[in-house]
Amino acid sequence: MDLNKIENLLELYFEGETSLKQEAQLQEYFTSDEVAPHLEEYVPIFGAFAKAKETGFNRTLELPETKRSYKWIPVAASVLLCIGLFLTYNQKQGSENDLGTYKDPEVAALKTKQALFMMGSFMNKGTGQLEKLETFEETANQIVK
Amino acid sequence: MNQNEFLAKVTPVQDRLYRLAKRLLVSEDEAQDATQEVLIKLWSNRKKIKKLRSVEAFAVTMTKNYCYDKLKAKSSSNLQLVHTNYEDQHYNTVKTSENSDSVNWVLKLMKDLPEQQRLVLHMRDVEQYTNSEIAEELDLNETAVRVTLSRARKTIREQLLKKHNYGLK
Repeated sequence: MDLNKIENLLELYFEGETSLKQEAQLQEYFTSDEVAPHLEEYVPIFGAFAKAKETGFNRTLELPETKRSYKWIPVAASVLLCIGLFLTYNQKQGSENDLGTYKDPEVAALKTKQALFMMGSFMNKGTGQLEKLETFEETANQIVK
Repeated sequence: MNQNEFLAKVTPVQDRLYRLAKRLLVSEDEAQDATQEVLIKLWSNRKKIKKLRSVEAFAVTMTKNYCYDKLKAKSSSNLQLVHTNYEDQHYNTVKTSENSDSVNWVLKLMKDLPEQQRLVLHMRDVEQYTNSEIAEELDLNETAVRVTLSRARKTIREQLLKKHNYGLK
């Protein structure tokens, strides 16, 4: 590389005016074997930077195992419990409100009829017993007359 | 983020974190400790770093703060030994020329720089951060970064030339 250029770069370098690219050129020049004798005193500076960069972290990193956290389990359980309670409560309410209403009017009429007939037959069962009262009354009339 | 994803994110950065820690703490062991500590902290904050635009910047800030804390603790307890004469054993074989002495001398000069200059010089000349990145990281403006950088480089040069002139080589 042109010696003049290197000298110029070096001057800029000590003023802090060089770019990273120019510094890389200097680094390359001063770590090569062809440094001009009057510039040799700068070799150790760039040698030191190169050397400093050779070291590194040399331990094997042991990352602590992450413990599975159980702190959400009680929360999840209580939420589930609440949902369960809510649902069962709602279901009970639903059965109270369900009056067995028929949607189709014909079916409703039929069922009502059936229900009334059933009621009628129960009532007739009761009146059947009352016929005995008539015999009692007849007998009573014969005597009292 | 599982372990592998985390490591993939962190591995390219960890050497830089280590070197930064070493620049500040000087001792190699302490720097390894610091890096490990920071990486584990990152791991426990992995949900947060998922959202960051740069894990590196975040990690560098963490490392820097961690090291400052360590240094503060060290300076408050006067019984602590400061490692100023440690040798970097692993890499001594890399450069065995007569220059390696001067190279080590430069590294020592870097240690003697004021903290701010040391940090700026390290981030720029060792890690090749841009001035704007350094400015953001250290909460300075870019001009201040440039001035600090220039000062650090000049100090190194002066000290080095002084040593050469004394004929200590």
